[in-house]
Amino acid sequence: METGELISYHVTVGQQVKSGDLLFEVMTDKIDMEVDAPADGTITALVGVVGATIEIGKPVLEMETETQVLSFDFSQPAAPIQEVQEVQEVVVAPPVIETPVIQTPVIQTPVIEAAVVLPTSVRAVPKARQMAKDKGIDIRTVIPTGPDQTIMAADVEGAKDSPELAQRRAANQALIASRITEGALIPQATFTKIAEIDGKASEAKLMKAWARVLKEALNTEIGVAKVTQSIYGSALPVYKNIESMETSALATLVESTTNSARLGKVPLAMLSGATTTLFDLRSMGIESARLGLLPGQSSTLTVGQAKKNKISLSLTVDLRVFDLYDAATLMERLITIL
Amino acid sequence: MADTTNRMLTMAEAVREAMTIAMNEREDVFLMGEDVGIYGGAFGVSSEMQNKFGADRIIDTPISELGIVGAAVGAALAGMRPIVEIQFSDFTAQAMDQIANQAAKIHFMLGGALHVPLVLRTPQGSGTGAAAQHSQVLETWFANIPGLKVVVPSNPADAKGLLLSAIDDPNPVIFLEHKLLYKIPGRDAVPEGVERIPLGVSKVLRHGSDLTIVATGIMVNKSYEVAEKLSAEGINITLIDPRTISPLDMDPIHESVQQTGRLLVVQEGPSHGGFINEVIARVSESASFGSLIAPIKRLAGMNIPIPYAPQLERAAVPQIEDIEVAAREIVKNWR
Repeated sequence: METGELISYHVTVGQQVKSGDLLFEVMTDKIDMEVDAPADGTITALVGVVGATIEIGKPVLEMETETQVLSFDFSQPAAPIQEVQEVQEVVVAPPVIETPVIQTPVIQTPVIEAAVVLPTSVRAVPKARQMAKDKGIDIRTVIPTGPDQTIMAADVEGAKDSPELAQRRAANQALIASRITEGALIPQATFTKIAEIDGKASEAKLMKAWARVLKEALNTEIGVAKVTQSIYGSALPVYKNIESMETSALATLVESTTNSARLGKVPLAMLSGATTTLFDLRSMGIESARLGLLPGQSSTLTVGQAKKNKISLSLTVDLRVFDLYDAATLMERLITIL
Repeated sequence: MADTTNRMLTMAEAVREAMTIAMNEREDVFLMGEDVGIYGGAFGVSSEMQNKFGADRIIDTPISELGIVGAAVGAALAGMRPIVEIQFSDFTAQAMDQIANQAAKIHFMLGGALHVPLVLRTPQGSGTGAAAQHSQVLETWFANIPGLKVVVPSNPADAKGLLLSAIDDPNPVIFLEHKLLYKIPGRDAVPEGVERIPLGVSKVLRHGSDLTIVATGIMVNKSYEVAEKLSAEGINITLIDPRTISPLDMDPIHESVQQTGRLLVVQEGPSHGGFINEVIARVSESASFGSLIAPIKRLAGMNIPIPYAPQLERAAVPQIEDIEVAAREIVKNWR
């Protein structure tokens, strides 16, 4: 399936949609498909023509989603792909036969963007493949210097990050910076405590407990944005309604989300709806960090590794939402649940 | 307890000491085998032991390996702790039904109701000009039989501690001693007292960040020399001796491979289907695979009967030069 026919739009520009709302219908050679909104947002443009053939992977409409978290839509390329220019004919000067002095014939060639033909498979040591994947480098573009034309770990180390990846990293970093700047304007207070609880408590257990505490206090839907490492820098997938989830099910979800986030893939539905941010620093052996508040969220909780296998908790709250004493109560409640 | 004396024993002396300690500790331990008594064993391992313990506990047997091991299995079932010496491990082929089908299976087939606390000690390995029927390394045979524990000590100190644990073990242990190590002192002093070394724990002989070598038996010693030599060239090697090849303790191997990314495995026995291939397989199947920055290299005996001619005998199994070349090439060629 490579193309489909755009049957109809069910939204108009400017319309606000909720996750799951019908956006448009497409007819392919196999089935008719209804495409739903992957997240809450506003339609900003309809770029397809009803009745026309559309290619898979080409945009049909554009929508703006609420970016409450420090992540952007990883599934979209950051930069448009360059179209390959048409190659002009190469003009070769005829060789001069009469003269005994051989002159190097000057060949006039137009400047052509080098077309890189990549091999379908390459030899590489396992570590090199892993490193290339982590750095977002197409392993086929790395020049092998090992025996039998094998790509070594050192070859990947020397290879540059792809420009696209660098661009995305920069964009992500800029987004984080601007959100932090916005968040700094919120009146806030931070409380820190070394808690006498098992320092090895699982992330899922922590997230669930924290969501429960907030749910009790605020009685609204809680979305926990968990700071997660990705090849594009920090990502914050949002886990919603987790206070009622089984810890083991949540652990599985966290693991799979963390793994796909690492490769730069976060489900669009997990990019919005955060009411709190959780930053678990324990795996890095860090005791505490100050992240501040993010716009649209009323709290930030950092969890660090304290001495003697204890947990260091640091809670920042929006003082428009929580009273100073409320915050201390939240912390106590969390420790009790854990 | 740390040993302060500098007792540099040979493997034969260390094994004798372990057997003597065990026989002094408990009366149910005895040794039987061809020429183990008056003659003191084919390699002199039980020398003078009959004078000390008498002919009832150091028993000379007729030339029948099947009979010896069969009698020992029976004695073990009846509550004794026999140690059997087979003169050359090649001859265990004669006794294989008792080893593989009886000793190894009884505990399992009777639902754990009975134990066979038998230790079968036997010398293995080439290098003595004894030709094809007296030079094999058969450790892989035994490692491939579930129900047997297989110990391959590479030095006198380990031999003593491991043999004490083998005698204590409630089920059959095959204890494979390398002939060439019998007469030479080890690198490390042998503790005077009773220090048991648990079965199933690999030993890391030295640490280095460039290459992991896993070797068995005498190949541990050859690899050690190479590691010392190459450290002068700036090539730092971690050397691991599994000591017990079944059960196999992979933890330090994984840990090291994840640090070095390069693995060289060395055994004397033939490469085809060899034990050391198991180490490679387990690394390949595990998370350690992703750490590899070089293809895994294997050095093992050729797939031929050990030749009688000394030059050919030497060429048939890995030598120090082979290990040195392989180690250097892996580190230099793969970054």
